[in-house]
Amino acid sequence: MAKQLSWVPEDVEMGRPSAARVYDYLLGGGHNFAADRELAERFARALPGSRDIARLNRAFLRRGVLFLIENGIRQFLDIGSGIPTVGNVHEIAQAVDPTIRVVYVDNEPVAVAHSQLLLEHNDRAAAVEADLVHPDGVLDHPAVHGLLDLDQPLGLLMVGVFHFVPPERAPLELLARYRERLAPGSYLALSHFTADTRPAEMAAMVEVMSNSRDPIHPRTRAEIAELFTGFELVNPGVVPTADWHPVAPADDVAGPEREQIYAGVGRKTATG
Amino acid sequence: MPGVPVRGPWSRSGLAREWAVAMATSGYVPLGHETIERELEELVDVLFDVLLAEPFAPAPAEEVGTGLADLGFTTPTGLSRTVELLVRRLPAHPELLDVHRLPDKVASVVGALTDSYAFAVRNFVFDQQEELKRALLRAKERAERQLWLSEARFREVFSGSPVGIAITDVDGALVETNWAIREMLGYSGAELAGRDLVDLVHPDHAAAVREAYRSLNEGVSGRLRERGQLLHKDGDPVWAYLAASVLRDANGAPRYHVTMVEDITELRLLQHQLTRQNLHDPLTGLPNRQFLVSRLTDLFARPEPVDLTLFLLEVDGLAVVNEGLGHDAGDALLRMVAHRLHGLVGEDPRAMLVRTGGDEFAVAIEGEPPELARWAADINAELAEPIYVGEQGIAASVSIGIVRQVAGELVFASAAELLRAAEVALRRVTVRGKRQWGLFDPNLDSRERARAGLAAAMPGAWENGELEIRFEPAVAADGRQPLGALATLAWNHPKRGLVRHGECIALAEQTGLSVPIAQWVLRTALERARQADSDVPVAVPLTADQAHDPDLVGTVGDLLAGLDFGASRLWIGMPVSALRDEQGEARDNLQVLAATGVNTYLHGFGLGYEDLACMEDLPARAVEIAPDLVQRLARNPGTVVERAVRDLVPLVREHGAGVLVDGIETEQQAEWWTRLGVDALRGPLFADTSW
Ligand SMILES: C[S@@+](CC[C@H](N)C(=O)[O-])C[C@H]1O[C@@H](n2cnc3c(N)ncnc32)[C@H](O)[C@@H]1O
Repeated sequence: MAKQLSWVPEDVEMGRPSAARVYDYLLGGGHNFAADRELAERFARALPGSRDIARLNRAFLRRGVLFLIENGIRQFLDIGSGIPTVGNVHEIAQAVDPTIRVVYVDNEPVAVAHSQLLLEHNDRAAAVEADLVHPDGVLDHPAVHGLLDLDQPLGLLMVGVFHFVPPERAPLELLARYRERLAPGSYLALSHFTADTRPAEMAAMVEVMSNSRDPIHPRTRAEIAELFTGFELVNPGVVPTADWHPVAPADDVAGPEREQIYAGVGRKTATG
Repeated sequence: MPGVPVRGPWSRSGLAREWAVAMATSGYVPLGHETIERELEELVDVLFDVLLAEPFAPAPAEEVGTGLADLGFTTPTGLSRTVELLVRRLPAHPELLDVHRLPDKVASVVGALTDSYAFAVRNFVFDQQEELKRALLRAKERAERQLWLSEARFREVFSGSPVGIAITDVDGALVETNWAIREMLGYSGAELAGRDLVDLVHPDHAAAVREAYRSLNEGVSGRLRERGQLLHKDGDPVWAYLAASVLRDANGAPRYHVTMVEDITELRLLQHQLTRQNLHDPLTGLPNRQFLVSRLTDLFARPEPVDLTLFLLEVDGLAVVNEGLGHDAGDALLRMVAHRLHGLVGEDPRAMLVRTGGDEFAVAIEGEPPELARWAADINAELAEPIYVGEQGIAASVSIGIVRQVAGELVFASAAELLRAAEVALRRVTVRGKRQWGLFDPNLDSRERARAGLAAAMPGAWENGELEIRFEPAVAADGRQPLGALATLAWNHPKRGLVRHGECIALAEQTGLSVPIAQWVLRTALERARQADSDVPVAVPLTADQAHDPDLVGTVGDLLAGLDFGASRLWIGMPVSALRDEQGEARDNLQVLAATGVNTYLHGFGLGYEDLACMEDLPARAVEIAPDLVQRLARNPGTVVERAVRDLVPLVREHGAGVLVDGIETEQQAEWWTRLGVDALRGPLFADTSW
């Protein structure tokens, strides 16, 4: 075997910094390598208030999930779920109702392996490696089929992930395909970077991430609202994360960083 | 007085509320705000208890630091805000006004809290780093496995394909060729390696083909499809379809071309009604393979099946002659073989003699076949008379694969199938040595195909989790208590049922999966062992390929470190047969493993002096007696072999190595070996041992 030609190109480069681990670091987690921390520090320098931005986003994820559960959702598809740091969707949801099912999707192999290790003994949650830009690949994945019933309403979470989709991947069509395959009564919860405020800082952050494995593409509020086409936005619509159903003092901050990520939740109507 | 609740911002709950607000924005904690307040209130109570207690002892305040970290507050900001708040509020708190030397006590309490907080956060980060490392290891392992699987699948297609496949580098130099293309062009693999693929193309077509590869490289087109003429080694044209694609590296730069070559000469021959001349081999003057195929095809086209015997003869050791004495000598030898074969069958109107390839001839005989053994002996007797090339006398011999179509018994569907069967028979006999002959055996063929099928299914089965690891106990010879667990492989085949360890590893070696499977076995065995309550030693027996794996030491080291598994709990077994071989890496691997504290043992150990020499030269801690030796002694007691074994065991033990015996089936065997003084036993007898 030893001298055989290896014909498969090697692209297994696990050491490269990833958005998942940068985010973990910004949230105060320890699931990151030196290279990630270095990138995260540059990220934070370019975009002051990054730690709060990350925290507000994560807090929106929690409130969004609880909101959907209150509205009867019992199964979640969490796309771009990242490193299982603190306050993972299955932990939030299964604390309310242990029968809730959750499938995590991410395209970063280490984050997926990590989630799988964490879920080894949870038969109501699974993690799969797949790419958001292939809706049918995600929805037809055996693990999705095994746990979720697409004929029933479902909570589709795309929190802090859609800004990784470049314009040339036809974002609207992508979301349309997801929507088409969901049962009426399903919800989409989405949050997204914007450069509507602090454009200079945003541009600097985009620049920092441009050479990583996860470049970022901020969108305007109108563009983000358009992603909800076919979904009925629940109040208050597409707003800064801090303004989406805040409940605790920590859900808001005073500075401009409160406006850096827009969030919204929409419901697929019978006709949508 | 302590205990009397004070209301308002100066109450304990007021302090907790203030603390909660300060903490909530220090980092993300997935708790509702009321929960945070409630939890912090309990910590406030602890602080007050410490400050109010007589005599004063700050230690219980450590609970507060740990408690904060447990709640999920782990950022430096969380700590600074806590310290700031407590130092501001506690010394002035109405409930604490009577406390003697309050500022000193607050300082001590905050010190204890800070210490324990830092300590807890440190452990928290270590745990997370550890977790991340495991995730990384797992993701890497999966990626490697996928790489191997796709590689193994490619290997399968590559070597088994009837279509010629050539892999060339971007400059067109051949890197690898498969059997089919060598056959098609009459070259050996070594002759082709490094040659320019375009050199094998007929000069009329070379320029076009070269151009096509260039546009492929430049990405102008993604695929190449060309019809053209290649040149057989002996100068004959071979019409072929070439289909090529580019393999790119991670950066998208072209790295290799894979070219599929399909021989369409036969088609071409029909199309052009080529003359007899093109159906002849210029070296020997005999008809060539195409001639044979077209004649056989004619025969098969007849409505009634005909009795037909096809002999495929391969000249033994032609390559040796070519290399040692030059190609002229080889050519002379081939002409001699052709001449003498012609002498034997040339006059027979029912027989047809052709040269089918480089060192291959075929004789087809219609009707009543000759007596096979006689015929084969006659041929080799005829060839044994040497010919002289210069001073040098050379004799030839042939190996013969035979297939018989007997109308009513074994009928082939086409000329190609008949030829394939003869090829199978020939390849099977050449494995046995020179001057062999053998008849095509359809049963053997189907068994081998079944086995090949099983081998081909293995990568998929592995991926689907049909392969599993079973632990087999090794017990102490005296007392029979379990000493360790041996990791063996089992395959729950959905149709065939259980495929056992021995066959699994043979199949794995066949498909080239043996090294990645060994890595998986090692990892899984260690992971499972780590989860077990006891710390029984774990043994992993390796095959020869695995023992020679240049990455073995690295793999084992990474696993031990990654899983925090004590080296001394692991036993790695290597086959003595691999260690006798001074060439490979196995000996080095064993020495380095032993030096890093891993236990090693030699399995398949027997009576040969080389086995003892291995034991003497290498730092193995034990040897395992092979099961066939155990069985032999059980069948033939009181023989010379038995006496040698009686001497062997004390010799090994005196040398300081332990003796394990594999394959114990009966109580009697167990007792016999125990009396000899061996240390440990394993085998079917102990299948039910539990630990
Ligand atoms: C910042 S994390 C978000 C984690 C979590 N959803 C949250 O908001 O708290 C973004 C994740 O999206 C993943 N990601 C980026 N592009 C993706 C894609 N095309 N398909 C799936 N996941 C993707 C990254 O690997 C990363 O783990």
